[in-house]
Amino acid sequence: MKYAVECRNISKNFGRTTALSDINIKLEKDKIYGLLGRNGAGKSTLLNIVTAQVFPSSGEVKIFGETPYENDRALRHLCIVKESGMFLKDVNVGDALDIASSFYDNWDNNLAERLLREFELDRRKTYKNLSLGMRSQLGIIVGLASRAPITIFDEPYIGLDAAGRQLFYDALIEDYMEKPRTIILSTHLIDEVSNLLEDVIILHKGTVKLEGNSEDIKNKAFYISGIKDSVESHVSGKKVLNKEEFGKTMAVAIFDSISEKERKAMEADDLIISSVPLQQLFIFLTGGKMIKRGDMNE
Amino acid sequence: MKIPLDENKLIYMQIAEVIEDAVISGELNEGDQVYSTNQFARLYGINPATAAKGINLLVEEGILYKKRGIGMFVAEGARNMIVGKRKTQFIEDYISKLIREAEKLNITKEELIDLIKTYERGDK
Amino acid sequence: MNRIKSHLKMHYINSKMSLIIFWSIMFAISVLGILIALYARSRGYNGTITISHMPAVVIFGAISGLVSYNETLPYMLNMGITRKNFILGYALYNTVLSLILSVIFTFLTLWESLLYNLLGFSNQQIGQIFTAFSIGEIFDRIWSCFIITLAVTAFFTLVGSIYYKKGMMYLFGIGALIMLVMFIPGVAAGVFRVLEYIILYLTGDKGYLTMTLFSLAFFLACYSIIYPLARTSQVKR
Repeated sequence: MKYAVECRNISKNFGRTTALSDINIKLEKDKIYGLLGRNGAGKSTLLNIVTAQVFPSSGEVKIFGETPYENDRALRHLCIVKESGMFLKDVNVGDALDIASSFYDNWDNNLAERLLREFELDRRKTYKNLSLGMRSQLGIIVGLASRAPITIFDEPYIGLDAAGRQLFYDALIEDYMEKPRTIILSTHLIDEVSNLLEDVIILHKGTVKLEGNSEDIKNKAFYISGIKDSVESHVSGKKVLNKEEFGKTMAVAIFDSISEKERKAMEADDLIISSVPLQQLFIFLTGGKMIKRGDMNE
Repeated sequence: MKIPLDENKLIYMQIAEVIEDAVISGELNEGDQVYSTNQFARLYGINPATAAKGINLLVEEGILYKKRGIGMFVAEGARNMIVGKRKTQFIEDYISKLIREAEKLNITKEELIDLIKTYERGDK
Repeated sequence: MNRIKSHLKMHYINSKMSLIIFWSIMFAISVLGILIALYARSRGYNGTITISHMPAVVIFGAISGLVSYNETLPYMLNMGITRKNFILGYALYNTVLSLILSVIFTFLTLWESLLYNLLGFSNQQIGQIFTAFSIGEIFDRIWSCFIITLAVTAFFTLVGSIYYKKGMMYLFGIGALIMLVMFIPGVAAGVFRVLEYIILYLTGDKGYLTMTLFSLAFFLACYSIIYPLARTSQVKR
């Protein structure tokens, strides 16, 4: 039971479309993981498979070493917060939390109450009368108060403004420190959460494009800019993600390590080295490009 | 409010630097207890494991030590260690850059030394 | 054990509103019926003027069965229930719901009959309602309503589970298939004979045990198809 979650050769097809293709990942206990990917990359599908809501076309999932399908014991370890499908339309906030509390063994009612107050949610309101932001807040409350050993947040903040999201991040880190557990945060808003993630998994078109410790990854993502020839000579042999030229200057983004020696040599040649933020690295790895004004006319 | 971090540097390195700075400035004396990983996590809005990485780095270097069940403390001789480390870095970061830039502007080393001697800080 | 309680509680909370609305309407219809009867009598009308509420109850059970399945299955799967436990809880919900509906139905009908009697209507005029006002009759009514509602609800839960897994088109396909089968000589006649038997029971009061067993068997038969369907059902995005 070394790993909290294991996906072995998970593939999923919907008719002729391949949503996931041979996914192999191992998530350790008590870490905060970021599952990053563009729309349609397969994140939600993967998370639904992990929680036995969707069946893989092939491959298997293990939750603390057990298969979750029809397995009450394994399912009790999981809590997933989704954009929709989490609540019944005609049930009010108070009752929804009440029902949830009976399904999660580690449910902390004090935390739920406190978050209800902080989010200023009216417990008598029925779900269908809640705004989009309030629905997200309710989902977040369930996710945090469940204190499930594996808690998954699948883009849980639609409709939530920046202040609301910050409340969520603060509550998340605070409760994670109080009761460490495995947390998977699937998101688009990478820059906002990058500091909270210990490890990241980047999913692209159904396959794992990159995974690892977020600081280690940061230590391999650099912008190098300077005189074109200089830049080119210093980055030869490195994995280049992107190149931009303007006049005699060139800026490249590389995904490779730079030794101390190499760094000094670059600085001696007046090259400027800076870090690529995770959000931008993500964009490079998943094929997105920045559209410059010039491109439009080409 | 969270204390902002430089997105160009590794987070755990910045945590280590913050502690080192505090030791150098005298805010933290040898034998003092350092903030816990959780406190750092809260202050900076980061993952506690990352904060731990920074602290552990200093433990490995002998600048901090751990008292089981209590927390992290500044080791004896930490200040000297840090100053020594920083001096080496100073040469790499500042002096080599200074000399290189001066060469570009055709300032000789003697002229440079004179400039340093006669330079007055604007804020003094 | 605790989970079963919360499972039923969830169904209760979810059905509460529709139950209240339904019985309010039924009560209103009941009152309206009495007023119409009084009016008709004042105009000299002498024939039977009441209707049984049972069809409405049965239909309510059926629709609850169908809709609730589609609403609560994805909800509960998301919370981490096994499909087996879901079906067990759902079967229990079907049963309890049918029972409660039957009890309320019986007492509504009882109240109606008492009122009609008080207002001077004869038993002939008020048709198939209470005649003797005995405990035995009350139990009869409850039980007969219960076993019919139970069977119909189970059937529509089955329809709901097919709809959930396969969608509307598939259901229509099955419907078309059934119609086709009905064209085969002898099949239609056989089906009508069975229906006749059931309707006969509604107006007579024989064969309790048989009807109960028949209903129970039908209920189990439906669930024997619902269970594997649920086990292979997924949650759509």
